[in-house]
This record gives sequence, C-alpha cells and structure tokens, in this order.
Amino acid sequence: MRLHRIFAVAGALAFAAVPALAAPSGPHYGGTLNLVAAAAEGTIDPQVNYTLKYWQLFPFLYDGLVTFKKAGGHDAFTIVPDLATAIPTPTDGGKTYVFTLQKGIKFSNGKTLTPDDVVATYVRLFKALNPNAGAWYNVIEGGDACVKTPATCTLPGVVADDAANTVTFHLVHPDSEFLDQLAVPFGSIVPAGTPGKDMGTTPIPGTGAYMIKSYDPNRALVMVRNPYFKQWNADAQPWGYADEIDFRFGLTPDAQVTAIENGQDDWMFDNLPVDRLNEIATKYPQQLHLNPLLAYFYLTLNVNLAPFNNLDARQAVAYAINRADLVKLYGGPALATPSCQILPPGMPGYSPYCPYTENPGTKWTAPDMAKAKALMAKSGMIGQSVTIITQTIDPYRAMGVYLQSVLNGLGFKASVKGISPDIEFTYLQNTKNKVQIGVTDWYQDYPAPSDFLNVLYSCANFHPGSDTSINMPGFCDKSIDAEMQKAMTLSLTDEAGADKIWADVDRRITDLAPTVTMLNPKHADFVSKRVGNFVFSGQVYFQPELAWVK
Amino acid sequence: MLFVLVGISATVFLIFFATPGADPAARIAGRNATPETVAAVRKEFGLDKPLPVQYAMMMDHLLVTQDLTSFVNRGEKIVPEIVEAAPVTLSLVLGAAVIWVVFGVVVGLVAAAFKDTLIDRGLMVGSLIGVSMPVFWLGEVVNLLTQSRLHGTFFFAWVPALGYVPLRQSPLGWFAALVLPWITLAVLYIGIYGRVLRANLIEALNEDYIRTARAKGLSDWQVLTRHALRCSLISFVTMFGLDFGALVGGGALLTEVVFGLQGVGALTYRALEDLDLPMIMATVIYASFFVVVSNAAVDILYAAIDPRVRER
Amino acid sequence: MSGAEQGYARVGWDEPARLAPPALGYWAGALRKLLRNRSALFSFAVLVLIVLACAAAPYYARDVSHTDPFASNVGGSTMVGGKSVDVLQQATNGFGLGLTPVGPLWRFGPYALGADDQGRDVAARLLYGGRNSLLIGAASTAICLALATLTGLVAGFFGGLVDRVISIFLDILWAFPIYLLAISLSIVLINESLGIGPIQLNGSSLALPILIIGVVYVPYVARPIRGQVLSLRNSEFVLAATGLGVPRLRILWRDVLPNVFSTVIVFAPLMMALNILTEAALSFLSVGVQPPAASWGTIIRDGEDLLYTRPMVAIAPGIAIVLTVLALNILGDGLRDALDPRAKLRVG
Repeated sequence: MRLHRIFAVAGALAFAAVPALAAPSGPHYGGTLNLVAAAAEGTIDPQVNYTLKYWQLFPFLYDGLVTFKKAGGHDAFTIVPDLATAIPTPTDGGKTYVFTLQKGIKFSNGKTLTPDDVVATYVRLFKALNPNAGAWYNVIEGGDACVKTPATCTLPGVVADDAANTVTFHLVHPDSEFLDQLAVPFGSIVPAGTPGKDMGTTPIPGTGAYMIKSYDPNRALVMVRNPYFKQWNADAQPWGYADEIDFRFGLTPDAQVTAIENGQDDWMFDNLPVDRLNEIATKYPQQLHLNPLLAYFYLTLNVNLAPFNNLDARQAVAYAINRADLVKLYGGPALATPSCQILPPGMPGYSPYCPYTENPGTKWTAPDMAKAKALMAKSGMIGQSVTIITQTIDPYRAMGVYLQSVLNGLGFKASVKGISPDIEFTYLQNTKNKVQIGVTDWYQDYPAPSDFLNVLYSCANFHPGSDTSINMPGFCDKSIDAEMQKAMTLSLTDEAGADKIWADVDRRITDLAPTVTMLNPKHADFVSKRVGNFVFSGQVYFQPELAWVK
Repeated sequence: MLFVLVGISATVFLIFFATPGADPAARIAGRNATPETVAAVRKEFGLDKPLPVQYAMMMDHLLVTQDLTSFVNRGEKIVPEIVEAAPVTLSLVLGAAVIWVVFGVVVGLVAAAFKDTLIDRGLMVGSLIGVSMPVFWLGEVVNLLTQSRLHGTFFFAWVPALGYVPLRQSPLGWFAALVLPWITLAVLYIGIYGRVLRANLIEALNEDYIRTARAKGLSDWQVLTRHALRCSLISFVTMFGLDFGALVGGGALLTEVVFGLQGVGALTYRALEDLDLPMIMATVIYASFFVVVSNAAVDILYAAIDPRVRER
Repeated sequence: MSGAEQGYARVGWDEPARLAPPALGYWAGALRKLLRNRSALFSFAVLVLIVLACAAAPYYARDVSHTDPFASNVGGSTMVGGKSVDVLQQATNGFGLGLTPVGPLWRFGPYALGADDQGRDVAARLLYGGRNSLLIGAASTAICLALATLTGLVAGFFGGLVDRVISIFLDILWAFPIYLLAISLSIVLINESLGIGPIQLNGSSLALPILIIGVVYVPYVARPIRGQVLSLRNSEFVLAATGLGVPRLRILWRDVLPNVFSTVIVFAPLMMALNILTEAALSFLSVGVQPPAASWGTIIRDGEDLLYTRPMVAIAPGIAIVLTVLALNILGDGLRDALDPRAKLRVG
C-alpha cells in the first residue's frame, strides 16, 4: 500500500516537471487561428525551405541568433537580438562576431539551448544542402570547403564556448549583409542532434513560441504552443495570442474567399481572385488590408538570343508596354503601381527613375509608342518570331496574353505559352530552353539592394545550361559588376554612400533593359471578422502570432 | 494486368524525363542554389543514374518497400497519402454513381416510354445541357450559390464548409458535405447514360421477343422493365465500368479540387501542377489498376445481363 | 435493314416473308423519311445557321463589333447611349479595387455579350471560337467513332486472342494520363515540332488536339460496341447466316454493323460535347488553341475567372455548345429513325 502511494506521489511530481502551458491569460489570449491555402509548400525544415508560405511561419516556431523585429511598418525591417543577448559589433576589421546566448531557453522537446546547438545548426546548413549555402554562408570560414564536400563539413569558422556561453563567427571577409543572413529562417537554431539531411515532413524542435504538432502536406499543418516557451524578448519572440494555429490546405482561392466571408477560416495565403476584389472591398472593407511590398513584376529578356540581343529591340518593348493596363490586369491601381526600374520604393538605394515613358523623368505616365516604333525600325527585328513564356495562372497569364498584343503591334510575330507555375521558374533560367522573353517576378529575401541587383544581374549568377541560373537574361557587364562590388564593400562603413552607388547601378541596368519592369505589387490580405491586431511586416507579411481571434 | 501497369508506368516515366524543365534536381535544391548544391541533390535522389535503374528503384520504393517519398513535399510518404485519400474518392464516386445510375435508368426508361412526346423532348434537352456543362464550371456555380450568394437563405444554410468529413467522425456531416459534390459529378453522367439507354431501349422494343412478351399480355411498363431493359443494359454497364474505374482511380480531379475534397483526384491534380514524379507514378498506377479491374468485372457481368453473350 | 435485301428470308410475326426487293431503294426510302421528319429538318437548319454564323465571324468583327477580337483592349472604351464607357471598368467604390469588364449590352453592335478579362468582344470571339470548336469537335468525333467502330466490331466479332489484345490496348488508352502527356507535349513543342511521318506539327497545330481527343475517347465508344457485338454474335439471324454459309466478313458488314450503327449515332452528339470540353482543358494546358485564338472551351475557361462578376462570358459559349449538340442529337435521332424500318413501332 505504502509503496503504491510513494510511486503515485513520485509520478505526480514527475508530471509536474513538465510545465503546464505558461501562456498569459487575459483578453484576446486563446482560441484557434485558422489559416488556409491551396497547397502545402514542401519541407518544413527551416534550413531548407525557401518559400514565402513557410517563411511566414518559421519566425514564431524558431529563433535565430538575431531576427527581424516582430512589428509592423518600417520597424519590421529592424534586426533585433533574439537568442543572442545583444547584437555584437564586429571586431577584427568586421570579420569576427561574438554572440552571447540568452540563458535558460528550451527547445520544444525540453532540451536547453547551448552554444553547441548553434555550431551544429550552422554545420547542418551545409550538410542539408541549403540553397544559399554557396552564396551566403560561404562567407563563414570553412564554408567553401563545406559547400564542396558537405558530408565532411566541420565549419571551423563557428566556435562555441560553453563556459562563457558564447558563439564566435569568423568570416572570410566583412559582409554588411551577414546579420540579415542570420536573421532569415535559414538561421533558425535547431537542436544539436538533428540529422544532417532535409527532414521533410518530420518537425524539428524549435525554441519559438509555437511548435509543430503535425504536418500532412495533403491536409494541414497544425501548430500549438511550445510548452517550454517563456517570453524573454517581446520584440523578437512574443507570446502569441492564439493557443493553436491550423494551416489547412486544399481549397481553391475562390473557395478560400468564401470561407473567410463565412467565418469558416481566418486568413488566406493565396492571391485574391480579381473578380472577388470589388465584392470584398465593398462588403468587407474592414477585413481587407493593403500593404506595399519590396517586389517587382518584370519581363526577362534573353540578351544572348535574337531578337532581344539587340538593345533597341529591348528598349522598344520597354517604351511600348502600357504599364497602366498591366496594373489593371493585376487588379487595379490600389494593388499595384507602375514602375520602370529594378529597385522597388522603400528599398535602401531607391531613387525614382523612369526613362521609358512619354515624359522621361521620375514617374511613368504613358507609353511612348512613337519612340518604340522608331527603335524597332532601327533594330531590324521587325517580323521576328517571339515566344512569350508565362504561367498558366493569373495574373501572369493575363499579362502574357496582353503582352502578345503589344509585341504584335511592334511588328513581332508573337505567341504566348503558359507553363505550370511550379516549373516556370526553373524553365526560364535554363538557357537550353531558349527562352526569348518571360513573365516573372521577384520578392525580396531581406531589404538590401544587392538582393535585387547583385543576385539577378551579376555575371557570377549566370550559369548557361543549368536550371539554376538566377541571372535569367544572361546579362553580364563587368563594369557594372565592379560597381556593385564597390557598393557592397562601401556599405560596411558608409551606408548612405553605398546607397548612392546602388541607385546608380539601378539606373544603368534599367537603361540597358535586360529586364523590363512592369509594376510593383502591393499585398492584399483578407481576414475574417473575428481577427484582431492584424500586423503586416514588410519582411514576413501577415504575422499570425500577433493576431487574436477572441 | 501487369502488362498494362508496367506499360503505362514506364511510358509516364519516359514522358516525364523527356519534358524540358521537369528535371527535379534544381527544383528540389531551391531557388538560387549553386551548381554544387544541385549536383549534390541530384546524387542524393539518385537522379544521376540511368533511367531504367531509376525506374526500377522508384517501383521498388513504391510497391515493395512502400517508402517512396515525394520530390516536392520532401519527406511526405506517397503510399500512406494515397491510402488516406482513397476513402474520400470512393465516397464521392460511389455516391455519385448511385445517383447517376438511378436517375440515368429513370431518364432512359421514361424517355423511351414516352418517345417523341414533350416529356421525351424535355428530358433530351435536360440531358444534353447536363453533358455540355464543364464539371469545374458547374462546381464553381454550385459553390457560388450555396456557399456564397444564397448561403444565408434557409435553402442552403445547412451546407457545411468545403471539405471532407470522415464517415466515422460524423455520418451526417459526411453526407452533408458530399451531397452537392455527388449531384455535380452525377449531372454529366445522367445525361449521357440517359440518352444511351433510351436509344438502346427503343431498339430493343422493336425486337421479336418484345412482341412475344406483349402477345403474352404483359403491360407496356412490364415489357419495358422486365424484358427490354435487361437486354439494353450492355452499353450502360460497359460505360459504367469505364467511368467508374476511371473516377475511382482519380478521374474526378476537378470535382475534388473545386469542392476541397482531399481525394486521389486532388492528389493527381497536385502532382500534375507540381510535376511531382513519385506522386504521378503512384496515382497513374493506382488509376490503371482500377481501370483494368473495372473492365474485367464488366466482362463478367455481361454474361449475367445478356444470356446471348457467352463464349462460343 | 430488311432481311429481304439480302435475298434470304427473315420470318417475323407480322412481317410476311418477302423475297422480292421493295419498290423503292433502301437509301431513297430513308431519305424520304428523314425529309418528312420536321424536327430533324429544323435542327439541320439550326446547324447550318450555326456554321454560317461562325463562318461570318470576320464580317461580324469588322462591321458589327468594330473590334479586333484577338487584340487586347485593356485600356479601350466603347460608346453606350452616347457616353464613352471604359471596357474594363475600375471600381469607384471600395478603395477603387477591382476591375470589371463591361457587361452584355444586348445590341447588334460592339460588346453585344460584353467584354472578357482582356477587354475583347465576347460575341465576336464566340463566332471565331465556333470555327475552332466545330472543326476540332467534328474531326475528333469522326476519328473517335471510326476507330471505335472498327475496334469494337473486330474485338467483339472475332473474339479470342484478337479480342484480348484489343481489350488490353483499350485499357491502356483509357487509363493513360492524357493531361500529363498534354503538359509534356506543350513544353516540348515550345521549341521543337513533332514529326508524324511527313507532317510537322507545332504547338499551335489543331491536328494535335484533334488526334489526342479523337484517340483518347475511343474506348468509351468501342467497348459498348464490342459488348453489343458480343450479344449480336449469338442472335438468331447471325447464327442463321453462319449456318447458311455466309462468309463472316459479310455478316459483319451486312448484319452486325447496321445494328451497331444506331449506337454510333447516339454517341455522336454526346462525344461532340465531351470533345469540345476536353479541348478546353487541353488548350488551357497550351496544347491546341493558343492565345489569342479562341474556342468555345477557352472562352468558358476565361469566363470561369469572371464567374462572380460577368457570368455571361462562361454561359454564352455553353449555350452555343448546347444548341449545337441538341441540333446534332435531334438530327441523329431522325437519321436513326429513318434508317431503321422497324423504328416505326411505338410502345402502346
């Protein structure tokens, strides 16, 4: 009898060791937030997944050494310390960063965070074949070797000091974007024992306010409160209001809109169908939120293939397209603004510039068909056959069809082909596919001009014959490359000076028109009636953890 | 059977790899990956091996060890997904099949019985309208009315949120969620089956044995149902075998997508959108299996329906 | 077909054995019966009207709608009651969010049925689209029915190994994922062209969807025909003919085929409808009718995105399809009645 009671008490004590959900009580806390999307988006391994859909979720499931502030508006681009106690000033000419870790932080499996976890995480980045390992993270000492042979990666550039509770990063050269690259979800710290391969549908424990309970790519991603979480920095990882966040898959965008109108779901990921826009805007205006994005929709022109290997032909297209019509096809002036240049408004280094309009200056007003036709005549490309590659979904499809009319009006013989959205991106990149012109877009990874200009237009990012050649036009100008390098180095010491150089690069590339910018999109979010505290971050967009349903 | 399955799966495999841009390595590696990363991914997924080897490996993973995973949703096991999706499709297709068989027979019988009258004409127009409506459009219209515009009225307030409710969880919910998809899917087939049955009945009514039956004193209705119908069912049953086999195997993909039902058809649709080779292979084999089984069953059924059909 | 034609007797309850050929030729008699069928004549007229209207598409576009049905007209405008109205109207309420094409104006002029999402005249596109749909639909239906009749007859009549081999091929055809094939073809054909013998087909060639659709639905018609033939094989007159020593092919041609013909006629309008709709799916996947060309199916597809604001864009081609199929069906019924001398009998 007595033994029995001892065991019972011991059992109860053991149970007590697992903390009950320590979420705060009070108004707005609790309930389940229902998110809905048409489909899942791949692996939930934060160090591999590179999609907008899950980059919205990782910030409240995991923490990095630093992160983007969980706020709205311009604040959202500020990098704040997360697992680190403070953002260190780099020493040794900008090549060494020493991060002191917060104490007492636990993963969702109960394990306490130690410097070893951080080291293991960064080694794992290379082992799990992170897409940007060779572009971003090879700035860490030993990174290049790790990219070559991931299996034997040891990454000597990241050093843990358990006694001092610090992690030191040694870089090969100073990098003004290093902190950004630590702040994005690729830098999510995971427990040291996590296997060095893409974990797919198996959730990895994290330190965030929520944890993944289950993931079925055909049905739903269910997230619940992390039982071991205790808020230590509200700017980096706040408590979050809902007790559970369900991300359901499988409804068409039209069905999603109706579900939100009926209150069956709270927020939809997919773009609002154009023919529902007015209905939403007039019947549910309080539930609609419009926010600017650092992104642009553009036409990529192959500068190594006729007819767009000719500068006049490219500029003719740039002068001929009616950006107001394209804005209409996107959904109207409330959802998009015309643009001629590469950097979007709000990006550091942005300086309004538009040469391809009736009155060249800073703003686009109207197409200049006369100039376009004159350029076409000069180019000798009249009568050339052109195939426009676009996606089968709107707005890309509509833009492609519209473009066909424009090109025909210029004297081309244009046809348009829609491809499944999932493969259009790689299809456009591979020179073997002989793409002449394609409709595509680009959304920022983090707010740095190099993320647009260097990534998309530098010689180094053009790989002929490969599916990953993000410099789609095949553009290579050594002097512009040199200027970009100068800007990246200068940004370490003089941000304003660097921004001026980026603005100049923007103008120069715009003038050479390897791509023709059409518009800058805004983001439209439609939420259900019961959702409160909608906070939009330019970095991650809608932040589910900050919204309440009660 | 094996010949069909191997034939189709091998052809699908070849078509996939013959398609420019379908190569999974770069898409798996992620946007902006370096060539080294892509090469490493290619090696990890065995995409650098010769095609027959890859085919054999994929078949092994799919059918023998059953641990085949998706290329797009990494880590997602294909076979369990299909197993989970099968009951959804089965529920949808069985229910629709009941409706279209019953109504198809009714429409065919009534149209034949009242040949050339207003009823016959009206049924014909109705049938042809049903055949001419694309199923996706019809589904969207049904949703527009029942979920959106008229959702508030008492006619459609009962319509639940789109999606499948497992039978075990709530039989009433299961039924309510499937009623509209059943009707939407059945409309097309009622039209076709009604027309074909009517034609065959009219044919059969001119046969000698019908005259015999009438001479025996049977009423028109009895003649129709007891004699003519049985001998007119050949086409009906044949088509049913083809349609049922195709639908159960995932042919109702547009219906499933528009009503948010996560069945095999929705999986097929996703796989085609994403060009996810493992899922495509799995759904194609699943579909082929049901087509072959269905048609074989129909052949056996022939003998039961029409005693004239027997091997000589 | 009356057994008397064959020179051998067919004895029924109320049909006296006739060994002398009837006064009128069989075909002439059928034609007369058809001409007396008023509904059949009416639907034939409707079909002719539809074909003529579609043939007159260029005139409609030029003289009535005054628009280019193939050029995007996103920023255009049209006159309504003396006022200039935007073809794609920006909303004036609710943040100015949302673009609605102008709705049906119900006039014998521009935008009679309204505009689509690119600002083009739906009515003009409907007529042009009819050309493609009717061509693709008719050609693919013809191919499908011809192939299906052939395979169904051969499989059902000869049985045994022939039947088994044909059935396997029909199974493969029916289970084959044509959408995957279409996606793959559409991408391959962006830069290459497909060679079938001496003919080169590129991505916008209409022969491609015609062939694909024609072949893909063969099992749907072939199998019922095969089933029918299987039962006919053991019917009295076939057995009698065989017993009399008539060669098998002749039996196939003279006895089995006519009975099967009736089924084929029933399927014709149904397959026409199904084929037009399948063409829509293929064109969406970029195999077949390419932008800016139209077909009834592609217009329905365009209309699906406008369902909540401009349902007419999807409904108009649907009505066109229904009318065509209805006319075909009535005509087919008339044809069947004309060709089958026993069809005069009615129930009751």
